Amino acid sequence: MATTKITDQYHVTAVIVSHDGAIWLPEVVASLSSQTRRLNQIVAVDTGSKDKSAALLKAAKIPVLSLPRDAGFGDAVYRAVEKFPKSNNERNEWIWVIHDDCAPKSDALEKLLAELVKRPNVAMAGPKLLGWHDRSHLLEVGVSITNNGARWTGMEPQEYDQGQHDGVRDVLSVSTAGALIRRDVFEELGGYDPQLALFRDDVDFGWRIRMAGHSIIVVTDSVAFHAQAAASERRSVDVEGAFLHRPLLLDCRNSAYVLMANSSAWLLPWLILQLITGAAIRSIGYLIAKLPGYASDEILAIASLVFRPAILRAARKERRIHRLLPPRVIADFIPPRLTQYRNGLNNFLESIRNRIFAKLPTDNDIDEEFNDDADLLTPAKVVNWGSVFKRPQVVLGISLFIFILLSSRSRFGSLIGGALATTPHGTSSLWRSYIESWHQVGMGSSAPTPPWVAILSGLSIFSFGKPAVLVTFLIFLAPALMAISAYKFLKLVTANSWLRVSASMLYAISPVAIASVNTGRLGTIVLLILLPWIVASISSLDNFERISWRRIFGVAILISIATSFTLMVWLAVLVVTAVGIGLDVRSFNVDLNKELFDQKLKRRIALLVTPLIVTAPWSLTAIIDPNRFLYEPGILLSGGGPNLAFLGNPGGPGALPWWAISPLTLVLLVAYFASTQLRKVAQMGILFLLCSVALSGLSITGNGTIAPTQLWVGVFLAVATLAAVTVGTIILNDLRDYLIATNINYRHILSACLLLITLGYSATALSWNISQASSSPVYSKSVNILPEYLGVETDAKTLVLREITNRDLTSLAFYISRGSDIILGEPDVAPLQDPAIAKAVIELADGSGLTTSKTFADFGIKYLFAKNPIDRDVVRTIDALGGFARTSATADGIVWKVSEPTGRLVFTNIKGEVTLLASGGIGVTTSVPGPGVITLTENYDLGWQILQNGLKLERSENEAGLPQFKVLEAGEFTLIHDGTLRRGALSLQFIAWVVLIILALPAGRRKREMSEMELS
Amino acid sequence: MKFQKGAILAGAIALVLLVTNLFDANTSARQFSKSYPAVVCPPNPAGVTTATSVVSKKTPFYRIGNKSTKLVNIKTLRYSSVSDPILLQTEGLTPVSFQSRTGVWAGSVICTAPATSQWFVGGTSDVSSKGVVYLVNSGLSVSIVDIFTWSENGEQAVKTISLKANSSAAAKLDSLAPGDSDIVVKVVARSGRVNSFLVDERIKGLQKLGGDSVNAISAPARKFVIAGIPQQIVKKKVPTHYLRLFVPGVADANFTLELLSSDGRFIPTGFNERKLASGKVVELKLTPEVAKGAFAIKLTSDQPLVAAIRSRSTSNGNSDFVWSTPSPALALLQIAIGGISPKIIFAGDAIAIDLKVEFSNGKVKEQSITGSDLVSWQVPNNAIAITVLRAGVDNYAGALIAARSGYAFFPIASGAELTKVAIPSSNIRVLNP
Repeated sequence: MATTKITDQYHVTAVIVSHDGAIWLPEVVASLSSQTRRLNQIVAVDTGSKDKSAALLKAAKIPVLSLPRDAGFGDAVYRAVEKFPKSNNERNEWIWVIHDDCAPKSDALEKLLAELVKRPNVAMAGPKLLGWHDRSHLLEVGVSITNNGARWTGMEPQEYDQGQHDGVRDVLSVSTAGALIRRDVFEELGGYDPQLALFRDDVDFGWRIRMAGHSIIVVTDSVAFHAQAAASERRSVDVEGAFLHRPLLLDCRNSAYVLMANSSAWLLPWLILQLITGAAIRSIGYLIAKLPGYASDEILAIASLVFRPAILRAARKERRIHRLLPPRVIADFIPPRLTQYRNGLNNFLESIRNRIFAKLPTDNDIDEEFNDDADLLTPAKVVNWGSVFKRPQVVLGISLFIFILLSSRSRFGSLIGGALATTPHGTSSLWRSYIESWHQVGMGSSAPTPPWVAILSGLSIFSFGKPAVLVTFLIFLAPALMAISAYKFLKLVTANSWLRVSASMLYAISPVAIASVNTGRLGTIVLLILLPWIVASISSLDNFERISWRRIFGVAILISIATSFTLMVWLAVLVVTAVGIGLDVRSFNVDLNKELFDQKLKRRIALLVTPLIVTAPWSLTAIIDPNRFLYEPGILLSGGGPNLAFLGNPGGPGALPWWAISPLTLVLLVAYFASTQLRKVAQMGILFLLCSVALSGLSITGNGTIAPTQLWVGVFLAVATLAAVTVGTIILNDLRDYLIATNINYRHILSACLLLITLGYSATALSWNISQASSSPVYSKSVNILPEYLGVETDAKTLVLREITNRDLTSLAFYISRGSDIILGEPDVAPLQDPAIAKAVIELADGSGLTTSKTFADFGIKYLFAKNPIDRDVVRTIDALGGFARTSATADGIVWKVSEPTGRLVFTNIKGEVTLLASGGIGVTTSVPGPGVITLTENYDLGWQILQNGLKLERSENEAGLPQFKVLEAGEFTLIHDGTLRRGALSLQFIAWVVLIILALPAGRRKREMSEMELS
Repeated sequence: MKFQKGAILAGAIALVLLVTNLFDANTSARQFSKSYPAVVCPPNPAGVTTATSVVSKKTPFYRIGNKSTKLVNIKTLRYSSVSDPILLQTEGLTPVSFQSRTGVWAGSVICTAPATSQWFVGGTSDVSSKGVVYLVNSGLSVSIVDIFTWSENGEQAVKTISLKANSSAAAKLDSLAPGDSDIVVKVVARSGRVNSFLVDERIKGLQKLGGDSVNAISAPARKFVIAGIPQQIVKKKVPTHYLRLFVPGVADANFTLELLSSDGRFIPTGFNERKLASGKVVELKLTPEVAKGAFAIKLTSDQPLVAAIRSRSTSNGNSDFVWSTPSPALALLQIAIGGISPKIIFAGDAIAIDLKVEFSNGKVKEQSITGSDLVSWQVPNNAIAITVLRAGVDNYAGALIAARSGYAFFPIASGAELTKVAIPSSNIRVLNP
């Protein structure tokens, strides 16, 4: 009773601020009218509402002060306070600020006043704020500000109110919704800052109250329900300064303003830096979430303050007048950084968890009626461990593991051979190879490195920066990864686990899979792993218009990754696109729906063009040299020709022999005659099979190989294989019931034949691969072609002669080494040999080369190395030819030194005297003794430049096609290869990838796009 | 409908398979490079004139010993050497170098590609010798050359000479087997591109006995033919020829000499299954009573041997001698004979040869030579090259040049054999283990 009496002495005026709040106002007014502690006065301010807010208030007989629409919240409150008369008891006169979307519980005011009685130093108190729709959703129990200006409530998203934060405690501030403020303090401090028309006005005001020596409390027994209409963008923000009516912009701007207006002066530089950095990071985040508007809000908010310092100066001056305590008094209310980070991390993890487990059934999803009796009668389940091994997935896993283990027994360690060059120990050389504009391979090349080198380098993070380990694991696990992706994909066509397991196993041991793993063809391996995912994402060529753009770009990422390894994937996409457009045209001719046609076309073109864009500039070189569309990563190895390709076998080294005939072709042919959708898949499979056959007749040169090499058609066969596996699975799945139900007919016989062939193939393929494992082209061995001592001179080129076997035919081959064996990525940029060098080598072999050694010297080739075993006649011919002096003959081979002096940088003075200049890596700084000509024994390229005294020396191409520079005076010079274009192209490529990833990521939603239930 | 679908599918598959198999690049076939190595012609000794015949003024060449090894066009059909040997890129054509010391002797040799070993049957190391063996290194690195010499007294000390890159050197014959009259020289190059030439020049007091350029023999053989031995009958006196023989192996040889002449073929007395000691040079006299002009001999032996025959000849009153050396069986070849108008002696059981004669005025004439045992044919005056288009089995030929200063011989043989090697291809695989 005593309390009631005491609270009666308080004079409380409720100030309702209304702005398009007609939706909530009736309940708000009702809640005020029903307060157990009756209000002494209610006044309202309407800031130009376009709805019926003002009328509603007037109907409730509440005096309404009308203000323009752009009047801020603080301004509205202040004007209202000015308007109503002061009571006699000035010390006990309080203003209760009520938003038009905030409805206090009936005892809210009573509870607040009860606490004020006990705490005379309190100048502001606020209730616990709960959600408007979900009234157990805890919104706020006091509010603070973080170091970066964010509004801090300390709540988890969607936190359920269980009284966990209940109690009366000091806070930095309370929300303006339901804030009970002592009128004299309010007036003394000038009310809410007019610069903060909306947002952060509460924190700022609380901060100022604190610095003026007062206290602020939150009383959780007092409850109000808040719709947060402005913050949740349920109404437009029209206040002055809210540029383009953007709440986030205003929010960000105001948070920065509060920090900079109230903080100590010496903290300002640090604060500005922190705010700019934070805004930039958040902008990137918003861009990733495809919310460019929010991203620009962040930047504009900071800019609007930084470029208008006068506002801040005035604010700081105003605060100095009323400050009794230093700004750091609020330090206790600022949440520690660790707490902020932990909270942020928890929120992030929670969002991921929600995304992943969103669809998991919960207890609430159980429809079955709970029956205690029935439950008691059900015998308890006994886990039988033996049954685990009867599960198809387990059988698949164990079988594959045994197969991989046996067939990879020669591949434990750093892999080499086949199409796979030596993998460097660290990622740095791979990155360097990717970024550098000049590659010291052969006579040098400025060809762009394919993006798979960057992908491999990036993925090496998972192997602790060891690409060799990554490649070993990739090759080792490739069959398992293929099987897993096929298993996931086959979920779309059958629910029968045994069938899926068998089919995915067949996919993993298909001829193309075995051959690509055995020869280390990374392009085909990656495609075989990704292909089921790609097809699963776009399972039909029809209804393309229904596929979301996000999914299109998601698939484009997968295709781009596969294309980064080999552009033949892009050719396959081109074939599919052409077929798809053909179907679209046919549909268009029937229904004449142009919009539908356009929708499909746009999506198809996006899928086709995106991989080319993100793999540029590498992909663009293929337009100039179409051969590049047909290359696999690494060393060019021959395929098996058209007949093997028709059997689904790409052939070549490491491939299954012809007699291991896979059921692939037969399955596709059988399915071709089906009358169901199956036929479409079979048609696509047969199309790719025939493309493989047609292409496998081609021979190509490239990747450092001038000998025509039969094309490897693994990519096209991979598509045909997946099609065959798919139709085979569907056939068996559909036929099973039919076969059981009918008498023996041709279908029984056909099915039996198919099964027998499949079993026969599986047995032969598995046994062959296991038995031939030790002679696999890719193997683990630490051997070098070049003797170590040839790598000592970093600028010396060595022409290596070696007999190599191709399709059982041994022939002499050569290439220029830079002192070491080739590493991953180098074959892909290796130049074709200069004709002059090729001619010199031919003359070297036939003994007619009078000037071979001179030609070698002209090209900077210092050593000739004949790798053992080599034809003795060749050695005798070289010995007899002259121009070469033997320097060593070991078990590795024979080394000759070219008699004429040569090096990488050759200076010829005006008298014709030759001097060799020091040259280490690509670029070098050294000096010349006088005027003359510097010849760089690298292939000519526009990027080569020599700078002397800040000037570029005149560059020309000599007869041998090498760059040479005219030197006019003695002195120091710098040789560089200008990689500006390469760096620019890589930057664009990086941007293209980022944009593609952003487009494929789930988009963030603006608050106005969320339902009210989600927000509250 | 199903049959139609099936037929379309079968047709498409058959077509693709057929076309791809037809056009399937035969990548397994090895590609070969066929080329002729450059040939080297002899140096020009002091006081001697050396003229080398070619068929094109655009024949690339350079002088060995010159600083520049850049090939330039020869710009003449008959190149007169100053002193250095020359290297010619003749692409299969065999140039002939004609050498003469005015009024003393004449000789001719075919220009050949460098060889690891060359045999010379000719020359002397006795007091009359003014002969020299010339060594030419046309390569760009130092060569080590061993000169092995045998005489009537057996094997002599080996002489080793180091030759600088792109240079030539000479070794006097009298230093190889001092005092010995009949020598056989073998030049072996340990490394490098080496050619050797032997000039057998003799003088007795003030009397010049003549001289000749001795053509090299590539290797000892069990059977060979020397076609083109001049037979000059002066005052009805049958000339004596000196057949020099050497069996390099350890076993003695039994050989038979058959003489082929326009009068027929026979085995001279004492030359049937005649024993020949190995390791020593033997010179046998041969005085065949055959018609004047030229004849040929055919030697068959149970052991490999080398042989050449020296004949006295007189031209314009100058007494000279000529070394006739074995010729290989005729095959397709082209030889430059511009300015020397030789008489070609064909030998064989059944001679059937088609020739193409090229003239300096650009005209071309085809000539068929048929006969048995021995056929002589005088090359027309303004001919610059003859090409053997077809030759019968075991047909041989040698050429005799009757010059003012003396007689000269050269075998009709290719100076550079066509080399066929698998073309090495540029392949980065060589750098991958």
